[in-house]
Amino acid sequence: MNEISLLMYLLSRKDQLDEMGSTKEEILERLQISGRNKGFMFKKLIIELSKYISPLGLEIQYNPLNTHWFLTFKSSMNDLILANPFQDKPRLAATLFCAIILCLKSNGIAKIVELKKLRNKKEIRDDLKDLENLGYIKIIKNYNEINLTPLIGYQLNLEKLFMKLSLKLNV
Amino acid sequence: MYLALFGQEKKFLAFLESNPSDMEIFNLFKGCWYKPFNLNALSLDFLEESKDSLESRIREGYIIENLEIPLKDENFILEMPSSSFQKTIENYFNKIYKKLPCNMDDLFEELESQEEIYEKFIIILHLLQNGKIMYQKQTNFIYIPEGGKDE
Repeated sequence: MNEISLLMYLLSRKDQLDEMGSTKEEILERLQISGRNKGFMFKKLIIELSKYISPLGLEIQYNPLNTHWFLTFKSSMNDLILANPFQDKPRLAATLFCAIILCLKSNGIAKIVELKKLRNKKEIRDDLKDLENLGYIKIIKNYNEINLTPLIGYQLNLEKLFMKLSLKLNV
Repeated sequence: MYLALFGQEKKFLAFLESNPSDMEIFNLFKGCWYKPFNLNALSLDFLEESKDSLESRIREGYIIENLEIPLKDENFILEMPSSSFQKTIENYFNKIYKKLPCNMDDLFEELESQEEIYEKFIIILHLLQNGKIMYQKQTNFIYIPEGGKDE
């Protein structure tokens, strides 16, 4: 078995709804790569595999929420395969966006009262329940807080989203 | 912490406090979705078996032979680049525009040699000069100006 087979297995595996792929440490361990150059070797492997799978319409992505590397269909194909889960629900998308900003601002947890204030809505419980059912957040009932699950990092390019917003605000 | 990398945390919050419409936020998500690729059938056992069956099928080793190409000096033609520099610029633009907007460093990420980095940097300068792409100094982002090639 070569590195490509093993990497494909490690990057395409799905253990739970919100856990796919593998961390850099897991990959290095399974490939038995160690030493001073392991970081360089890892980067080289990822780049080489990217080139290899590109003709298949696949690419490698990184989930900053749980530091896992995983495989996705190419972004150019996403319009064809309807990757957007909020196609007709802009309200939910807006609540999720506020939750992402608040959670990433404060170590992964956001207070529901702050979220409500940011959304400028009297009630957001239904939105939060819907988002919890979709697997994007967990509601911590006793504390009136929410936290993000890693799922959104697998479905949304957070870096690109924040870049788009930065450009919008700075232009 | 992650937001701090963008150095825009306060601006993001100010934007949300300005009470943007749901549709305005929803539109930010466009072009940012992934569809993860999971292959449940791909297990380590499956890969091991595939490898064994492939190996057992290859009974003879490969033979490597020298390829003899007759030299014809009289027909020597000076090789010219197959495309003009303008074409090279267009090809590069078509290759990168789907990545945009992105950090300028990302455009050089996969390049391995200094020569390649220098060549692509020169092309980026030409694309900036003719307005096909724009550079935002505060964020180090390269992007396509409004009215340019749509994402």
